[in-house]
Amino acid sequence: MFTPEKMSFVNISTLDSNLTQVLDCVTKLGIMHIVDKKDLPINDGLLKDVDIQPLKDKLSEINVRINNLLSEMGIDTKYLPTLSKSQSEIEIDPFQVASKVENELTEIESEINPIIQRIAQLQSEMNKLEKDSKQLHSLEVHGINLEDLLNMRFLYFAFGDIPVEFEHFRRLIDSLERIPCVVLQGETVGNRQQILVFSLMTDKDIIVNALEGAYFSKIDIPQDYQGSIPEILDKIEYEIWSKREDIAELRGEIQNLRRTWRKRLLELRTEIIVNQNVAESMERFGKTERSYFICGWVPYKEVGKLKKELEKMDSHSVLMNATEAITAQESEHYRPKVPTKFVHPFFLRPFTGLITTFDIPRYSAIDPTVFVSLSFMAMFGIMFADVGHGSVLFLIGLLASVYPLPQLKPLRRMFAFLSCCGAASIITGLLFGNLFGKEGILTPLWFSLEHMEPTQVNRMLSVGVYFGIGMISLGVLLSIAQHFRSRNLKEAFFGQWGVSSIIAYWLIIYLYISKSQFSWDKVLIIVLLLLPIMFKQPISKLISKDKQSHHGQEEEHGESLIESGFQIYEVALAYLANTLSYIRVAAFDLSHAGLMMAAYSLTKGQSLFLSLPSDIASNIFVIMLEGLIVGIQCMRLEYYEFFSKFFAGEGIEYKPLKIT
Amino acid sequence: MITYSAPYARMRALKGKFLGQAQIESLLQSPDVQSVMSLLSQTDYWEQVQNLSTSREIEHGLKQNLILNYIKILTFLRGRPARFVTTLLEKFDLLNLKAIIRSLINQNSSTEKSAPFIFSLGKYHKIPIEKALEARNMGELLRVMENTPYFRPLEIGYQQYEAEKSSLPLEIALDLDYYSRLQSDFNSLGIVDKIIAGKLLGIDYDIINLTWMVRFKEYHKLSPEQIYQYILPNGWKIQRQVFWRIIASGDILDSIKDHHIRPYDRVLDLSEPINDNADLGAEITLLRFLYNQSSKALQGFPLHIASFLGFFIMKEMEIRDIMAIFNGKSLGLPQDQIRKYLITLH
Repeated sequence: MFTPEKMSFVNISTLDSNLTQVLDCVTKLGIMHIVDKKDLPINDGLLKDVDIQPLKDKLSEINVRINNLLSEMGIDTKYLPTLSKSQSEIEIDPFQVASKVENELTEIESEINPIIQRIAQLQSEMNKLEKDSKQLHSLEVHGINLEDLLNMRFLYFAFGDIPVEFEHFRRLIDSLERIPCVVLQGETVGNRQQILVFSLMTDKDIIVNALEGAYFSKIDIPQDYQGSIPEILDKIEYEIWSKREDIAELRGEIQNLRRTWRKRLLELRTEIIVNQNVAESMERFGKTERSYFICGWVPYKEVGKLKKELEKMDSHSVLMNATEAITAQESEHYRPKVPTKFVHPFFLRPFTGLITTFDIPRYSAIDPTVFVSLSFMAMFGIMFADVGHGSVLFLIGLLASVYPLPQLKPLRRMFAFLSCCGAASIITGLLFGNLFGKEGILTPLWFSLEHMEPTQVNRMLSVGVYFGIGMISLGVLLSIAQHFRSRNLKEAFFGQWGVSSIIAYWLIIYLYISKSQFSWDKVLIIVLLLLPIMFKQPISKLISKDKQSHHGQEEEHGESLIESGFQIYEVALAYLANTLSYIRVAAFDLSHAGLMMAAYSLTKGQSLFLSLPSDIASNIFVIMLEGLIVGIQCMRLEYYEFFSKFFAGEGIEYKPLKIT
Repeated sequence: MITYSAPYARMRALKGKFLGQAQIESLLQSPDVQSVMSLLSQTDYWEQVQNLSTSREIEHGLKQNLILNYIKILTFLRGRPARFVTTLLEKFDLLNLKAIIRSLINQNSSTEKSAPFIFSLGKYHKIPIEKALEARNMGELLRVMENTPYFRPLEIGYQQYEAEKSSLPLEIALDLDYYSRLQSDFNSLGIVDKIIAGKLLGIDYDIINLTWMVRFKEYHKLSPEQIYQYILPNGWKIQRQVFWRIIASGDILDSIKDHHIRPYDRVLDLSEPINDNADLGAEITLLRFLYNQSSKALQGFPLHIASFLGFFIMKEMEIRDIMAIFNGKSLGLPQDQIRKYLITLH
């Protein structure tokens, strides 16, 4: 829980013929974090690349085809569970699975695709009919008979559209003011305005020219119909309905096929996705003429399990060797880099994101999740101390984290985290007797913020400072522990955040709290504690017995002394600033009480009918605004004030090859 | 007024670099093209025209100098006046686009050939010039123009272009769009700005309209109904009623005199045919009228947009005169002959 899981480096070599078996074993066990052969310290070009791209392309194409088919059958693939088959049943063999699934898919497609194509064709015919209907409708609005229109001998007519911009319609009307004609406005479709123009046949050329000036575009009147426009529209409507019915019938057939094929298609999809992941990993394998080399990291306690499974295969064609568990000290220089696997009980999992958002801790580092989760909840609770508001956050978080909605699945941990923060607010809210910003309803277990004396304000602010002292001390102690773990004694004792600096810090705090009198011997003790930080380099040289002195080194020592001098100043300033920074923990609590008092004063003395909606709105506003601000402040205190003391990042996440 | 004080000071400084009548007269007196270039070397234009030789190149260089003047003034302008002047400057982007369209339509030309004659507007470009020059056909150009103000007019004109394979519908759509935007920016200015600048802009629209009417009628043989839709609606005197009175007559410019459309009837009374071309003579006379009106706009109370509009028109006319002299000298025309083409010396 406090350190990442111990890892062993594992090499598996297998003949080509046994690759499928090994892949099946490794993937189903799901414990091996595959390492790319390029990251191995000794390769010398002995291991060639595995040419997997054609296979990956094929798998990807099949996946797209399956998804298309599912989507045509009305199955939304976005929130489908990836695994639609038990792990043991899934075949791990990318080469075989690709051709097997493709054959089966082609068969299913041959049954479904003709119906899909028929629907598409009917849809296209329906679109044409709808377009015709829309165009004829424009003519119907003006009471025009299509037959009359098409059989006119002395009148010319034009039906089409012009752009709506640049006052084209008005310009057209003005330009035709001397010509006997009728210009009717129709519907506006997009950025074009439909128009219908009638004139004498003798003026046809003038009209045509004028229309050209208006950037007129002719709309073809459907010639396939006969009769009056209402009759034609009825006919079209009937055709549209009959096609809709055909489509509905075909969709019904697809529903039947969906019942037949849904399960199988999802199983095929699972097989393809899993084998796509395996194929991705295979790119990292090494290849010789007749064998494959698979290297990676396995949790030390799981090595035996992997070995046992591989031993079930032919011992002449599959070989495995594993190192002992890598220590924190070894891991600092080990290549390839050791991945970090967190070992967290379920109640800590919502807080893992807080760490990984910042960085992945190194394998040699201390896992700070326990400390971060407790301190974050404590800070959030104090800053947002309100039983009512906390309950709202708790309930929202709880409901969203357990509600079985697929869309919420990726956010479950976040909501669980919210729920924990809400719970912390409830506990601290009880301390101050604060319920939706009102005090007096609950009896405070400690004291009431609303009715506190001025001395209690100082007491409250000192709570923040003491909390800060605790957090900074914890951070420095973690830093010391981490340096001891990596056998870095120099940094553990004399580092910026080492033993000597923390003792000096505690001493100063003790002197301040005990209000002890100024004396030079106390100053001397503090200086003596800080001096080793300044002389860290020379002392470490002495310890390592490197007595060879060169001119350049003397110069280096001089520079490092000046640097260290500034470092002491920086350390002192950082201790002071970081400690004071935690005052905000108490200050935000006071601001929460103040904000709620201001919100309620707006509706003071008004009837319940008027004040209730306003009070509800104020509470929602405070929950959202303060919840966000307090969350950000807590993160800042964790990341900047706490993590800066000890956090060793730049780790890589443990991602084993497994069925997901 | 505060808006205009700094740009006005800048404009006055730039106006000091105008050639003026004396220098234009000196150019006219030059015996040949080399002497014209030698005189130009002592002017503000030299930076843009040095090392250039052909008429087209020099015209491009001179106009680039005008663009630089626009940009120098724009640096000090803010708010709506700045938007209006930016749209005035955009005229050169419109010319760029038309040049690209013509080279795409003209089989004998290519966009590589038009590239050197593209005006550089710096940050004021509204079209992606590089991509537009790479377009191989109108369809591609249309795609390049998406998300620019020119897309919609090009889209409007595209269908007719496809049918006729002529740049005319595209160019008219672009012009109508440009002048509509210019008018909209002008309308957003304050009342003081609009009084004098409105007249200048109106005269400019009138000259454009008359030129287009002659061109569409004589050369493109378009019907009056079609021409009516292409003319700019915010002219000073050439408006709807006037249009129908003059369009039907055999000679548009004569009919202005016949119908006593003031003040153009009196202005055109002064015009003389140039090389037997009455239309050209009338155009030069009208431009002289515009030049004089622009010059008047620069007198009196200076802090309004008309001062700047007048400045840009005067500068454009000066460039036109330099080009007339350069081309006249190249053709070996006598001074008196060239003088007839000049606007600023009249």
